[in-house]
Amino acid sequence: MAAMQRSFMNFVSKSRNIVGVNSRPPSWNMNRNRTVDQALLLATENNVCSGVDFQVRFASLKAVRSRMRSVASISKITKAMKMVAAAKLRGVQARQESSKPFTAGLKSFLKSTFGEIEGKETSGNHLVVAVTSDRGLCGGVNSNVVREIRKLLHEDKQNQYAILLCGDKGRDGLQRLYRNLFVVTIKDVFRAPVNFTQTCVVAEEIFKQKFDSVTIFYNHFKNAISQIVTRKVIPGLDIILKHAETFDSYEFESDMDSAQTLTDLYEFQFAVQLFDALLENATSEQAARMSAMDNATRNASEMYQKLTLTYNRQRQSVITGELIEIISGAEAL
Amino acid sequence: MFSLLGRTAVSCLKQRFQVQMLKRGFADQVAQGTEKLKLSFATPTFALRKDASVDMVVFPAATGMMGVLPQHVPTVAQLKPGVVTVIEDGKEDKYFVSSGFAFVTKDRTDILAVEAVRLEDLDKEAVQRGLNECESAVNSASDEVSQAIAQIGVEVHSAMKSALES
Repeated sequence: MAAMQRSFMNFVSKSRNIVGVNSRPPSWNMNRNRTVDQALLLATENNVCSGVDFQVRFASLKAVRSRMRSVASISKITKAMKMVAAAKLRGVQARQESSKPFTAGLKSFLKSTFGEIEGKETSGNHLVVAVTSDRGLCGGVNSNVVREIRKLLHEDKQNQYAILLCGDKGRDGLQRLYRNLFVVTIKDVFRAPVNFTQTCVVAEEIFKQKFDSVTIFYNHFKNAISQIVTRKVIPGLDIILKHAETFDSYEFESDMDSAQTLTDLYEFQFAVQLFDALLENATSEQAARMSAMDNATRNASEMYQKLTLTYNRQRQSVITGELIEIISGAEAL
Repeated sequence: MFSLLGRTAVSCLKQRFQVQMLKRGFADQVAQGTEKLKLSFATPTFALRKDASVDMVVFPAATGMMGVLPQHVPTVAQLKPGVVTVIEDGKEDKYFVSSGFAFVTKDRTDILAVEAVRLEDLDKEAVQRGLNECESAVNSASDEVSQAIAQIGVEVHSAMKSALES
């Protein structure tokens, strides 16, 4: 009986070498007669905490197969999301390209007028507009915006800040520390393609607040792989009216008095700049989502390949074990 | 409210007068000028002209129709509903704009319109129907805001109507 057990143990240790197992389970009860299958299962239970490698290799066939199935379905989902994001990116990018003459038309005028005024006064009430998306899985775009805002609020202690949120993800990121600074949260901004009328509605919400300057944080779309957080500062209406002499080089053709005309001009240029920021952020969101989903698909297929190798190794070891059992049983006769 | 209507009527007359003035002065101007005006005429969704070299552009400023030639004095003009005419090599292209701003600087002119359509694309019947609707909305309006909205509708539709008729 002991001899049989000894030979059985020999075959077990040899089979363990064949399947590439190289550790001794801590409590291997040598007196009980077990099949190799059960022995390996016991080894798994004992080895559960001794490293990820062993955990994967010793996991049962069924566990590996179910993991493979879930990874495969994840890779299908992320691939579909990538295609959707790529299609949406094409659409939004086309809109952004065709709106460029509109948003760029203001630039030279703004540089010579608002640009002069911007540097003059930096203290007072500031409104921070955080442009983020509503849905996640879009890479770093939202966390970058939140990070920049946190940096600004942390460094600048002397001015008063209020935060206006355009998109849910900004709220999620900022509410832990700066919940008391929130004034308005606007949702579903990017559900429909960004258009000028909708931007005017958002701009009206902003004008209801009192501020000395507005800082808009958004993602500038450089290209499909690069989206950079940008900060756009627009002085408030009161400051513009105070420095109205900067506009003296321009003749104003309007049937209203100069203050009213400046107010109209201010509201118009604000809406145009906000439109530019929203459109750029929408494009950046789709591009970031496309690249994030692409990475996820690639990682998932890598994981699937590794799991397939593990599964095959496991399958072979199970078969080898059964063979050994049969052979040892036959030998014992 | 009445001053608004009065203003619209006066500027309409001024408009017609000024357009005739410009029409008379046309031939001289084109003969003299050898420089071109760099024009960008855009809406939020598409651009009608992008850095185009044109001879002259006429747009409906709030004070009346305004014509811009190269070397115009720097101007910021608020636009009223009306027709923008782009003159390129003797060809005239007319577009109806709803509102916006025009910026004339030393090097270039930018017309930023909120909505712009080609004059040929306007439907006379639809314009008349819209005008009737807005006029009845003005009469039946309950508060100031909706009355102002209806009044704006009347202005735009009557501008469209006069643009189609002229």
